[in-house]
Amino acid sequence: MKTSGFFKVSNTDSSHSVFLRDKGVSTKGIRKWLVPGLYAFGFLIWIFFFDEGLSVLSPWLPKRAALQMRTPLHMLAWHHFFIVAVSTSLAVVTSLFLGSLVHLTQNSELKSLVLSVSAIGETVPSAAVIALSVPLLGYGNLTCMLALYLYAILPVVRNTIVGMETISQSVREAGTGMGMTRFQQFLHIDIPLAAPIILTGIRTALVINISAATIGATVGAGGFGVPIISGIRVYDPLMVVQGSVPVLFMAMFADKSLRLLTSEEEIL
Amino acid sequence: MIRLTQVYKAYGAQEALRGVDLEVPEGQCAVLIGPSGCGKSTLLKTINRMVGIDAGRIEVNGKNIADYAPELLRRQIGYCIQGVGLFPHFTVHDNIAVVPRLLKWPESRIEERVKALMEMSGLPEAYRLKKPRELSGGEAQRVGVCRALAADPPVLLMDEPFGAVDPLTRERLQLAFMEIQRALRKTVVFVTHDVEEAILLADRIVLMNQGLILDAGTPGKFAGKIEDPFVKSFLGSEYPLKLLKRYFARDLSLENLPSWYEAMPESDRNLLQPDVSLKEVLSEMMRLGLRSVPIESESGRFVRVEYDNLADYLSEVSK
Repeated sequence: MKTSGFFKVSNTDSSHSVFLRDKGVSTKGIRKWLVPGLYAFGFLIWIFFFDEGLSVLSPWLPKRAALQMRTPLHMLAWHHFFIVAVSTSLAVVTSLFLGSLVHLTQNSELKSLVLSVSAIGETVPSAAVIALSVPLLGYGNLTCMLALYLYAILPVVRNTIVGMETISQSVREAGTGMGMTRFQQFLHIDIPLAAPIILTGIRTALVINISAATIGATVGAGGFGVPIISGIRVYDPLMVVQGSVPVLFMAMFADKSLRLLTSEEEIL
Repeated sequence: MIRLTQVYKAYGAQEALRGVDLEVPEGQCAVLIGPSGCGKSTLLKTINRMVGIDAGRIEVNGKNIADYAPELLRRQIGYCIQGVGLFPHFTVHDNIAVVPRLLKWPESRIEERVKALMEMSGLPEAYRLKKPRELSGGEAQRVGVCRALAADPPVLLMDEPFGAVDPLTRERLQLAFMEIQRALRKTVVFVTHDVEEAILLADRIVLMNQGLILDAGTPGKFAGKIEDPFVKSFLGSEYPLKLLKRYFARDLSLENLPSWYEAMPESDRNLLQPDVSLKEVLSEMMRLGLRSVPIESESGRFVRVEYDNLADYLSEVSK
């Protein structure tokens, strides 16, 4: 008997269905992940073979300024990933907490407070948040991460609240009527049923943050913003492209992968 | 047994229940019926504390329900609702197993129970791993009934459970429920606004309006003279005809009736058996334009059932 927390998956037949599902993965699944796979492949090719490609194409490219990148692209990729992952994860944790709190307390005042405060985080321009945070946090990754953190909260918190609100009244009534405690309902009904909508919010936040993280370079943060901002300063479009294309790949990979995960939730 | 004594409930200035007294003996099915907003659903929900009461006392099997934590009480009471409310991310098996798992039954016992309930309610075993969205409305409601019965509760609350399905499916579900009730003899409180459903399922019909019980009694009782004009208009002038569906030809003590000596009437239907409803017997008389029809008794003898037998039986049950 497979057990997964409170509710268990029934035995013999479930192994049968897992078998069927595995067969499905082998044919449809691989095709499904082909596009994000291509994005990831393009990303890796770009960051590891950009210089080689550039030297091959140099006879046809315009003459460039003497200024060159000192940090290799794969290091910038790691910085970018780190900044986005930490800020978005913290924002997701905060948003899930706030969204769940609003849902569990069923307090409409708290709901409008949470939504309006997170909307402020979303509406203040990220450049302004970064500039205003410098006196407080100084130059570097932390300032950029704060801005991204504030940016990511609204989509996730809003989707958490909406996702839990849209659960059918009869499902709720059945849960209560059968003797589930409020916490059991939250764990076994609210979270799994709201998960696809919450994941959509996380996807939105992640894609925004992958792009927005490039602004961090203006206050000394790492990531792909470094070549973009430097390229703008020295009027080198190739440098801008060098930083922009991997951001594009990263954002499209995140978007497509989370879309697939969300639709998988609905199918299974 | 369920006993409600002087139960009051108000939503602000709106009084939903205005001093309700009700007793449902063990193993009986009480059907609460009345127009929308009469308080029948509220009354049902006070029994498992889905709705708290302002005053009064509710006892289930001699124990005051206020002495139990609501969650613990609800695990002892089966609950079935109109929207079914199956958990869409659970399989049929896991939906039925919810309450047994809350009660920490061992998995082997749960598995046995789920299989037995599915068989009893006419659901194929292959449905066990289906998700609710793969079921028809009638199948989903069968699963809902199985889920309510899963932990073998002595008391079952059913809030318009067959209200959202088409008439044919509803009739099948009603018959399936009658079979289950005949086998398990649960104490049931059943809410409906459908008079025919009440007649078919009730041991006792409880008629409500504006938060009060206006009248209560066996389905047969309401076929006689009714004083209250509201009860009369709500049950409708066709009530005795509808009541005929509840009883069967075998209820007429067929062995005491005279034999049928004439030629068998020409009919496109099979010869009437003792398990046809009295409504079908009357229909057959009307179809053939006769005041009597032959019915095969349990001993195989064809007896003469006359219109007067039906009328006499109705007047007998309405006493």
